[in-house]
Amino acid sequence: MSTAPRPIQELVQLHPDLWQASGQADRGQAAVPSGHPALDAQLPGGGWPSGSLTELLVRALGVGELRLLAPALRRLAHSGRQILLLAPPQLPYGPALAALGLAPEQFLVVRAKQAADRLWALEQSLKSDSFGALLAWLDEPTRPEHIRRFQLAARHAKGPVFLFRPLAVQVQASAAPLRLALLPRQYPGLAVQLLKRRGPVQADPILVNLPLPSRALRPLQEHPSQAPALAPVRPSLSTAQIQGLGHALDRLSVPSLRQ
Amino acid sequence: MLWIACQFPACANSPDRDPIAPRSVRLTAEESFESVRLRMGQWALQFTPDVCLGQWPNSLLLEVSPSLKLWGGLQALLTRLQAGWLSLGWPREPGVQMAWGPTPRAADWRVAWGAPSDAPLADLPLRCIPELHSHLGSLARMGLASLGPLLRLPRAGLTRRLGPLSLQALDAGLGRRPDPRTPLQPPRVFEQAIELAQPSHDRALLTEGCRRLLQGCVAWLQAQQCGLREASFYFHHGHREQHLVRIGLADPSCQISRIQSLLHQRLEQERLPAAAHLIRLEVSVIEPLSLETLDFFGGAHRGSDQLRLLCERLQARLGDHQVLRIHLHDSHQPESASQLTPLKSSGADGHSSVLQARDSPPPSALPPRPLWLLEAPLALPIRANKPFYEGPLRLRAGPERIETDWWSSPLRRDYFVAETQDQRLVWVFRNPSHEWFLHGLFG
Repeated sequence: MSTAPRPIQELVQLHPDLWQASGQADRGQAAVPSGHPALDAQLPGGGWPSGSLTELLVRALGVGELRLLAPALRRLAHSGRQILLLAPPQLPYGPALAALGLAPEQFLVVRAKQAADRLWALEQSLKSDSFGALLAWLDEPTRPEHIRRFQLAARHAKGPVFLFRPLAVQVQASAAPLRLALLPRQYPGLAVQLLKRRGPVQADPILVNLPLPSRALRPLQEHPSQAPALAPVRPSLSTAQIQGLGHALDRLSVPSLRQ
Repeated sequence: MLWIACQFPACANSPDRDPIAPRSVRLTAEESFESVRLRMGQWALQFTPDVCLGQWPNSLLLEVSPSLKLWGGLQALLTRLQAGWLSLGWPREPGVQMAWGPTPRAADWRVAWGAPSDAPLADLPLRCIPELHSHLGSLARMGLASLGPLLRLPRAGLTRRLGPLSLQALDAGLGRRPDPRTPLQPPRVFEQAIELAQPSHDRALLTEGCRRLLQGCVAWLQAQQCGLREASFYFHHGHREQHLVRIGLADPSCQISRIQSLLHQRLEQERLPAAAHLIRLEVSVIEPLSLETLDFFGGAHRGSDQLRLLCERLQARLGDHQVLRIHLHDSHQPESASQLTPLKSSGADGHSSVLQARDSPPPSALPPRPLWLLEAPLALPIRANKPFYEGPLRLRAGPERIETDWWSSPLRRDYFVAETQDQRLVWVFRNPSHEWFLHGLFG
């Protein structure tokens, strides 16, 4: 074997799934800009990826998850495609959607009482590839093999797929290539913590401004001391922990979060 | 003109091999063979509008020359027919015999003969011509066994011996006389039943029975170039009791795979009260199929079709009331300003109730509304003079007085935007008796 080692740039060109650990894997994947430049800069591909799962971990409903997605959803709805809401825990409220610039008739709400039905409906929706975006709320425990199955089914989807899961599952392995935790901050802020992405570790949460469309509510100024500093949570992770987490291919950036 | 004659084997019942009644295709016990032939004729109407009953009590005639190109030639059509007979439950051996000829009678003669359809008609045995059956003895004594020598005899003498009717039949068969036929008409309502060899709960068996019924139904639809929107399957059990399983489609369709997958979905969910011994399919409302329009740029059109199919599938399993659309209503009461209404199966749901944005003020001028509304307001406890939801709430904006419905059930609420301990925004209200309720979450 006397061939000279090939330069790394050449190796990376071999397959779209290969990327350098120092950079982001942003080739060969369609993405919908999230509408938040700071976030786009950190998302591989420059936006919410289409055709793969994006896990959004939230402690509870109402942290600002729809306001975060609204710019991307507006863009998708503009192309005339429907937005599927699968098993939302509460009723989506039409006037508020309209105020965000999202036409309520663009939404389709699917309710399923039983967990098995929810999983079935999610898989069917992913396979049908008929939606502009899919937002699904899964209740736990969802087994990792379910997520893997959904990730496979989502490969042919033309739009982004968002799975909302509780914050507690961050220690579980997941086949979703992109995992974010959404942590509420002082209004109108939302801290987005990248838990896993195809790219280098991003330990500092990204602060996104999500004002309500109404002017009635202004950012609080009066108690600056009350606002907790946006301290980044530094990873303190041992090798054993990483192995235990089972993330073999994709990078894990932060093991655990404090609110 | 090209006629295909199909002759069905005399009923060879072998129910032991097929649990869904009839190898003989006699679906219910009281069905006569004539009606079996009629039903087969109805099925064959999908291939050509000219299907008529043959000379033999068990034969059908199909005029296929105008539709040959559609079905890809005679051989392809014959293969398709043969496969169809098999799937309808006719045995492979002795199978349904098929032969073709330029006139209906010639095809009918040839199918009884059994020789290849390109054999010369002069060699046709006289027993294959039904009109000569009463003269077979005398013809045999004259030394005549096939058609060729018979036709060489002087016509006047033949007419005297056999009668003018027989001669006319021969002329019609040879194409020298017109031979008009009345084609079968598809019935207005589709209703067919299939009997099971024994009452059964078995889903696979019931599905197979339904498939056979659907096959007939789809042929009936194709004959009229229509699609169904709704199909009712009745599962009979016990004495005169029946269980109805109804499937609905988003748009008229005659695709058997699509109807079948919906039915499969429904049967998975359905609990039959007892073992069924008879399945009946009824379709009364059909709509003309609209031809597929192809979008120049592809894409969007296909997506909406896919979406309709998806909704249909979801509705079949989860129920019609689980696939919903959001509608806005002009109402001051927050609960009724936005309503979730079941997606109509028509697919084109009316936008009449949708609030138009014509004179509505810009969103920033409106008081804030939550993205998630609780189905029912949640009563909040009060601790230290503050409403309490996962910790004391901090009021951030408000109040917004909503007062309406004084004529029926008066509603008076002061809405506030409040912040929870973990900095989520929620929508709370206070009623006149100073009780606090959580009503929404700012998603």
